[in-house]
Amino acid sequence: MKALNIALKDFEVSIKTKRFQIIIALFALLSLGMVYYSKRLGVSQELYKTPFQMLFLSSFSNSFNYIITLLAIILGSTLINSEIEKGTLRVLASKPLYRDQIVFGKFLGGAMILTVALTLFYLLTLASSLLLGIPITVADLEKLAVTFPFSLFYGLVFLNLGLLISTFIKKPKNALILGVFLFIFFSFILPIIAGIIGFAVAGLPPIPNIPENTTDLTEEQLQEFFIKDPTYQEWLTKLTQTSEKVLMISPNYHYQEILRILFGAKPQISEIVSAFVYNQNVVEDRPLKESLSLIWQNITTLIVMFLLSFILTYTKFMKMSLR
Amino acid sequence: MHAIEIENLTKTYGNLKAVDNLTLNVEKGIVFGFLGPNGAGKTTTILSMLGLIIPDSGTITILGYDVFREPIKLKEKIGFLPENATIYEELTAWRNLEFFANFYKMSRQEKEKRIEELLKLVGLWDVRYKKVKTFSKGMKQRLLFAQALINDPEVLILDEPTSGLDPEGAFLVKNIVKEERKKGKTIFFSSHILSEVEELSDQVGILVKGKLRALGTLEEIKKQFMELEGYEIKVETKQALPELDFDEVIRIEKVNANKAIIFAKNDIRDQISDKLSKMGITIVSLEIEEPSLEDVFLKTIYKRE
Repeated sequence: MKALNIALKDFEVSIKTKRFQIIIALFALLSLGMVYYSKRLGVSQELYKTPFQMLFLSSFSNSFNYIITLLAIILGSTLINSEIEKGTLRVLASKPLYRDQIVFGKFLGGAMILTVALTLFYLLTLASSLLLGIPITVADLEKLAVTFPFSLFYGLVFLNLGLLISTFIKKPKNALILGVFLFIFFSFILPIIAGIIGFAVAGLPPIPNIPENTTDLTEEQLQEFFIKDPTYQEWLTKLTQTSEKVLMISPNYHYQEILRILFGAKPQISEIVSAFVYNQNVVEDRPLKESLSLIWQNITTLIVMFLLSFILTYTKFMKMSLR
Repeated sequence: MHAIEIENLTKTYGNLKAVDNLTLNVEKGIVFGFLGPNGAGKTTTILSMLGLIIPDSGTITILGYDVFREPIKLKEKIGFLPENATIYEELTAWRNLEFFANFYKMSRQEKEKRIEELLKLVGLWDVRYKKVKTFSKGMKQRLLFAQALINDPEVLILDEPTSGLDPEGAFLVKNIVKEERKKGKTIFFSSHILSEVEELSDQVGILVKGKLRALGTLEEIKKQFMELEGYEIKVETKQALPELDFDEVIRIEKVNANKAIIFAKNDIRDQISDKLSKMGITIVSLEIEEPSLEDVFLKTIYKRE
């Protein structure tokens, strides 16, 4: 009850802040931007079963990933240290409650805010799709609904990471900077590092066998030669698999995989490559149970990350001086 | 019966001993003024009393409850006003007090009645539904004071309670402290404002570099101080002052031929009077200069270091 009292207060305070409103606006902008970008790139609808599936896998899944990470880590990284800086935590801790109730209350408050924000993200996703004239089928809605608890849990992983920062970094501004850095690191820097390592391991792409009498090749024709070459496909698979091994330390990668599989994408990279080559579907119809069995390792990794940061936060907070 | 018992409390930050083997007892139903310069260890002591800082060693018992073993039972009976703190600025004054009241076993009606009483007491009833961020510093401090009283505590711990308040606000807070004392509450407060300590305190403790340098009622402290530092006797005569070579005299500061300040180990006014009378010298004035709390405080800090 006491933890809930703290959670409700935090929820009430955070929901009124400009930061929260900016994040929601940012999500709307980013989503629309990504839809526009993927339309410009000309993502082929033939690769997907439904237009919404194409839109989600090529645009919205990235918006979700970026914005949930950003919101959760920013929210978490100032939850405790800002109260220490303002002195409100000293008032709070002088009330008849245990320290673990404070940590749970703070976490619960953050979880409430994330739930509301995510609900808004999901509604905005549906609204912007309809605005763009993209039809949504019942199957699309089902898939989208199934991703909700995983999106929330992914947000909680970063909320915990933020909470951990907020117990170790005294100044909220510094904690925010570190939080934003971690967002940039996991969202952009680590994929680049993973790509570099992938290239280092897989080496340079093999040159396909192009018939000698072939002249005046267009760029598309040249690309086709590459893509259809079995040695090139083998190289691409090796490159991707190596990069994925590096990305295993990133919660973003696991969440992206969960979204991808739950939305029906083919699990193996070789299947995707060959689907692109032969202009087939990159998605498949699969029962939910089967999809879940394909992502259990990703879910387990996220659970471990969640527990690890929460245990560290809890241990630190129980021992820290509330000066 | 002691309301607060602190025994051998020590807290170190790196190489700095913030509180050094502090032992202190505060009787029930009194106002205890805790004095000390910045960095003396007052706030560290206070935060340790609430279990917000875990000391290196020592025990603290308030109302018979061990601070670290029975924190919940204890916190149900105490109220705390921290120094340099604020309150939730996005919430209204009413919602802030309601939030803190929710931590105590009170019915909804009891809570509402108590919040109303307190908001009226600190003069914020008319602005109860306004967000705290629109309040002045003094208004926030008064609201913070109100939260410390939300559970009608038996012991009030106040860290610099009038800091940031205008004279009117300070007067209000001091009156509340006096009223709470009348109700039999124990009040432990730290302050830099010596006049405030003199006005409110039944007992005073002076902390310097984590050590308790003086303890007792104001009279006791002044007496202890005079016994240690010497008595300051002012003498003025009609004729020129002769040599006053008593054993008890520490030193004499001559103001002019007729006036002097005699620093003596004891009150030797009778001996001076006798000697001057025998010499036929007329005494214009012969009085003891009682030290002010400021003298005691400043000399305790600087002279005994």
